[in-house]
Amino acid sequence: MHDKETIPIMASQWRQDRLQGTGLGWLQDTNYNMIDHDLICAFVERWHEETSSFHLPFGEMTVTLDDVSCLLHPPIDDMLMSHGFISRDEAMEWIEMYLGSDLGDALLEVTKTKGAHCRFGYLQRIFKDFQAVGVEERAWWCD
Amino acid sequence: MTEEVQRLLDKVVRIYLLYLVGITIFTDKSHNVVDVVYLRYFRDLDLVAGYSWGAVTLAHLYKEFNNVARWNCSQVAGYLTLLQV
Repeated sequence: MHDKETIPIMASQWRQDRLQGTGLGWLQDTNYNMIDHDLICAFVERWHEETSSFHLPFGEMTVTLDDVSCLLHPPIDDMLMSHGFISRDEAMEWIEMYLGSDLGDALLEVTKTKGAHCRFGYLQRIFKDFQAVGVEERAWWCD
Repeated sequence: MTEEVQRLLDKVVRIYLLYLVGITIFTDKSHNVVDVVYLRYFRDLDLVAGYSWGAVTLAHLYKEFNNVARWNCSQVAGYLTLLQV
Protein backbone atom coordinates (compact mmCIF):
# COMPACT_ATOMS: atom_id res chain seq x y z
CA MET A 1 0.00 0.00 0.00
CA HIS A 2 2.85 2.34 0.82
CA ASP A 3 3.95 2.22 -2.78
CA LYS A 4 3.46 3.76 -6.18
CA GLU A 5 -0.13 2.63 -6.29
CA THR A 6 -1.36 4.09 -3.01
CA ILE A 7 0.60 7.27 -2.68
CA PRO A 8 -1.36 9.00 -5.47
CA ILE A 9 -4.56 8.01 -3.66
CA MET A 10 -3.34 9.42 -0.37
CA ALA A 11 -1.97 12.40 -2.26
CA SER A 12 -5.41 13.95 -2.52
CA GLN A 13 -5.25 17.25 -0.76
CA TRP A 14 -7.90 16.51 1.83
CA ARG A 15 -6.23 13.33 3.01
CA GLN A 16 -2.79 14.83 3.12
CA ASP A 17 -4.10 17.64 5.31
CA ARG A 18 -5.70 15.15 7.65
CA LEU A 19 -2.56 13.01 7.72
CA GLN A 20 -0.21 15.89 8.40
CA GLY A 21 -2.64 16.99 11.10
CA THR A 22 -2.07 13.72 12.93
CA GLY A 23 1.64 14.48 13.18
CA LEU A 24 2.58 11.21 11.47
CA GLY A 25 2.93 12.54 7.94
CA TRP A 26 6.72 12.26 8.23
CA LEU A 27 6.39 8.46 8.19
CA GLN A 28 5.42 8.59 4.52
CA ASP A 29 8.71 10.17 3.61
CA THR A 30 10.80 7.47 5.25
CA ASN A 31 11.74 4.22 3.66
CA TYR A 32 12.68 0.83 4.96
CA ASN A 33 15.54 -0.38 2.84
CA MET A 34 17.92 -2.88 4.31
CA ILE A 35 21.24 -1.37 3.40
CA ASP A 36 23.71 -3.76 4.94
CA HIS A 37 22.69 -6.99 6.60
CA ASP A 38 26.14 -7.71 8.05
CA LEU A 39 26.34 -4.28 9.64
CA ILE A 40 23.09 -4.89 11.52
CA CYS A 41 24.29 -8.33 12.63
CA ALA A 42 27.56 -6.91 13.89
CA PHE A 43 25.76 -4.27 15.93
CA VAL A 44 23.14 -6.62 17.33
CA GLU A 45 25.79 -9.10 18.47
CA ARG A 46 27.31 -6.35 20.59
CA TRP A 47 24.07 -5.20 22.19
CA HIS A 48 23.95 -5.28 25.98
CA GLU A 49 20.58 -5.34 27.61
CA GLU A 50 21.72 -3.97 30.97
CA THR A 51 22.96 -0.70 29.52
CA SER A 52 20.86 -0.63 26.33
CA SER A 53 23.96 0.10 24.33
CA PHE A 54 26.43 -1.44 21.91
CA HIS A 55 29.81 -2.36 23.38
CA LEU A 56 32.39 -1.62 20.74
CA PRO A 57 36.19 -1.87 20.94
CA PHE A 58 36.47 1.88 21.44
CA GLY A 59 33.70 2.18 24.03
CA GLU A 60 29.93 2.27 24.24
CA MET A 61 27.55 3.55 21.66
CA THR A 62 23.76 3.67 21.40
CA VAL A 63 20.85 5.10 19.47
CA THR A 64 19.50 8.03 21.48
CA LEU A 65 16.24 9.91 21.47
CA ASP A 66 18.14 12.83 20.02
CA ASP A 67 19.12 10.67 17.02
CA VAL A 68 15.51 9.69 16.46
CA SER A 69 14.44 13.28 16.70
CA CYS A 70 17.11 14.56 14.30
CA LEU A 71 16.66 11.83 11.71
CA LEU A 72 12.89 11.48 11.63
CA HIS A 73 11.50 14.60 13.32
CA PRO A 74 8.67 12.90 15.20
CA PRO A 75 7.13 14.51 18.28
CA ILE A 76 9.28 13.45 21.26
CA ASP A 77 8.18 15.53 24.21
CA ASP A 78 4.46 14.89 24.31
CA MET A 79 2.33 12.30 26.04
CA LEU A 80 4.05 8.97 26.53
CA MET A 81 2.33 5.97 25.04
CA SER A 82 1.53 3.08 27.26
CA HIS A 83 -0.37 -0.03 26.31
CA GLY A 84 -0.43 -3.65 27.27
CA PHE A 85 -1.75 -6.55 25.32
CA ILE A 86 -5.35 -6.66 24.22
CA SER A 87 -7.54 -9.71 23.91
CA ARG A 88 -8.81 -11.06 20.60
CA ASP A 89 -12.34 -9.95 21.48
CA GLU A 90 -11.19 -6.40 22.11
CA ALA A 91 -9.19 -6.47 18.89
CA MET A 92 -12.25 -7.56 16.94
CA GLU A 93 -14.32 -4.84 18.50
CA TRP A 94 -11.72 -2.19 17.60
CA ILE A 95 -11.30 -3.42 14.04
CA GLU A 96 -15.05 -3.19 13.61
CA MET A 97 -15.45 0.18 15.28
CA TYR A 98 -12.42 2.08 14.06
CA LEU A 99 -11.70 0.54 10.67
CA GLY A 100 -15.28 -0.12 9.65
CA SER A 101 -14.92 -3.85 8.99
CA ASP A 102 -17.65 -6.32 9.73
CA LEU A 103 -17.28 -8.75 12.62
CA GLY A 104 -16.81 -11.77 10.36
CA ASP A 105 -13.73 -10.21 8.72
CA ALA A 106 -12.38 -9.16 12.13
CA LEU A 107 -12.82 -12.69 13.45
CA LEU A 108 -10.98 -14.08 10.43
CA GLU A 109 -8.04 -11.71 11.05
CA VAL A 110 -7.57 -12.57 14.73
CA THR A 111 -7.95 -16.27 13.96
CA LYS A 112 -5.51 -16.28 11.06
CA THR A 113 -2.90 -14.26 12.97
CA LYS A 114 -3.50 -16.13 16.23
CA GLY A 115 -3.69 -12.94 18.29
CA ALA A 116 -4.77 -9.31 18.31
CA HIS A 117 -3.22 -8.66 14.92
CA CYS A 118 -4.23 -7.63 11.48
CA ARG A 119 -2.60 -8.66 8.21
CA PHE A 120 -1.24 -5.97 5.90
CA GLY A 121 -2.98 -7.66 3.00
CA TYR A 122 -6.31 -7.20 4.74
CA LEU A 123 -5.65 -3.52 5.43
CA GLN A 124 -4.78 -3.04 1.76
CA ARG A 125 -7.98 -4.74 0.73
CA ILE A 126 -10.30 -2.66 2.92
CA PHE A 127 -8.43 0.48 1.90
CA LYS A 128 -9.17 -0.31 -1.73
CA ASP A 129 -12.79 -1.16 -0.89
CA PHE A 130 -13.20 2.33 0.50
CA GLN A 131 -11.87 3.69 -2.78
CA ALA A 132 -14.41 1.65 -4.68
CA VAL A 133 -17.25 3.14 -2.64
CA GLY A 134 -16.07 6.57 -3.71
CA VAL A 135 -16.02 8.17 -0.26
CA GLU A 136 -13.69 10.85 -1.53
CA GLU A 137 -16.05 12.01 -4.24
CA ARG A 138 -18.96 12.14 -1.83
CA ALA A 139 -16.93 14.26 0.56
CA TRP A 140 -15.92 16.55 -2.28
CA TRP A 141 -19.51 16.89 -3.34
CA CYS A 142 -20.71 17.65 0.19
CA ASP A 143 -18.10 20.34 0.69
CA MET B 1 -19.51 17.67 5.03
CA THR B 2 -22.00 15.45 6.74
CA GLU B 3 -21.03 13.67 9.90
CA GLU B 4 -21.46 10.25 8.33
CA VAL B 5 -19.08 10.99 5.45
CA GLN B 6 -16.61 12.47 7.92
CA ARG B 7 -16.66 9.26 9.93
CA LEU B 8 -16.04 7.16 6.82
CA LEU B 9 -13.11 9.33 5.82
CA ASP B 10 -11.63 9.04 9.30
CA LYS B 11 -11.74 5.27 8.94
CA VAL B 12 -9.77 5.45 5.69
CA VAL B 13 -7.12 7.58 7.40
CA ARG B 14 -6.99 5.16 10.34
CA ILE B 15 -6.44 2.19 8.03
CA TYR B 16 -3.62 4.03 6.30
CA LEU B 17 -2.04 5.09 9.61
CA LEU B 18 -2.18 1.60 11.08
CA TYR B 19 -0.54 0.23 7.96
CA LEU B 20 2.07 3.00 7.97
CA VAL B 21 3.17 2.46 11.58
CA GLY B 22 3.10 -1.29 10.97
CA ILE B 23 5.60 -1.15 8.13
CA THR B 24 7.90 1.43 9.72
CA ILE B 25 7.92 1.96 13.50
CA PHE B 26 6.35 -1.26 14.76
CA THR B 27 7.71 -3.83 12.37
CA ASP B 28 7.73 -7.35 13.64
CA LYS B 29 9.56 -10.37 12.42
CA SER B 30 6.77 -11.78 10.33
CA HIS B 31 6.70 -8.59 8.19
CA ASN B 32 3.12 -9.50 7.56
CA VAL B 33 0.96 -8.33 10.46
CA VAL B 34 0.44 -5.30 12.68
CA ASP B 35 -0.75 -5.30 16.29
CA VAL B 36 -4.28 -3.92 16.58
CA VAL B 37 -3.43 -2.37 19.96
CA TYR B 38 -2.05 0.72 18.17
CA LEU B 39 -5.58 1.60 17.09
CA ARG B 40 -5.91 2.89 20.65
CA TYR B 41 -3.93 5.96 19.61
CA PHE B 42 -5.95 6.53 16.45
CA ARG B 43 -9.34 6.64 18.14
CA ASP B 44 -9.46 10.40 17.93
CA LEU B 45 -7.39 11.55 14.98
CA ASP B 46 -7.02 15.02 16.48
CA LEU B 47 -5.13 13.59 19.43
CA VAL B 48 -2.63 11.49 17.45
CA ALA B 49 -0.19 14.38 17.27
CA GLY B 50 -0.17 14.61 21.07
CA TYR B 51 1.73 11.36 21.53
CA SER B 52 5.45 11.00 21.73
CA TRP B 53 6.02 8.90 18.61
CA GLY B 54 9.78 9.38 18.71
CA ALA B 55 10.05 7.90 22.18
CA VAL B 56 7.94 4.89 21.31
CA THR B 57 10.00 4.24 18.15
CA LEU B 58 13.16 4.08 20.24
CA ALA B 59 11.52 2.02 22.97
CA HIS B 60 10.35 -0.52 20.41
CA LEU B 61 13.84 -0.74 18.89
CA TYR B 62 15.42 -1.32 22.32
CA LYS B 63 12.84 -3.97 23.14
CA GLU B 64 13.53 -5.83 19.90
CA PHE B 65 17.29 -5.72 20.50
CA ASN B 66 16.73 -7.13 23.98
CA ASN B 67 14.66 -9.96 22.51
CA VAL B 68 17.45 -10.84 20.13
CA ALA B 69 20.12 -10.70 22.82
CA ARG B 70 18.14 -12.69 25.35
CA TRP B 71 16.56 -15.44 23.30
CA ASN B 72 19.29 -15.93 20.78
CA CYS B 73 16.91 -15.25 17.94
CA SER B 74 18.08 -15.33 14.38
CA GLN B 75 16.09 -12.32 13.27
CA VAL B 76 15.64 -8.79 14.50
CA ALA B 77 12.74 -6.40 14.01
CA GLY B 78 12.28 -2.72 14.72
CA TYR B 79 13.07 0.42 12.85
CA LEU B 80 16.51 -0.62 11.72
CA THR B 81 16.92 2.29 9.36
CA LEU B 82 17.79 4.28 12.48
CA LEU B 83 20.74 2.02 13.11
CA GLN B 84 22.00 2.22 9.59
CA VAL B 85 22.28 5.97 9.30
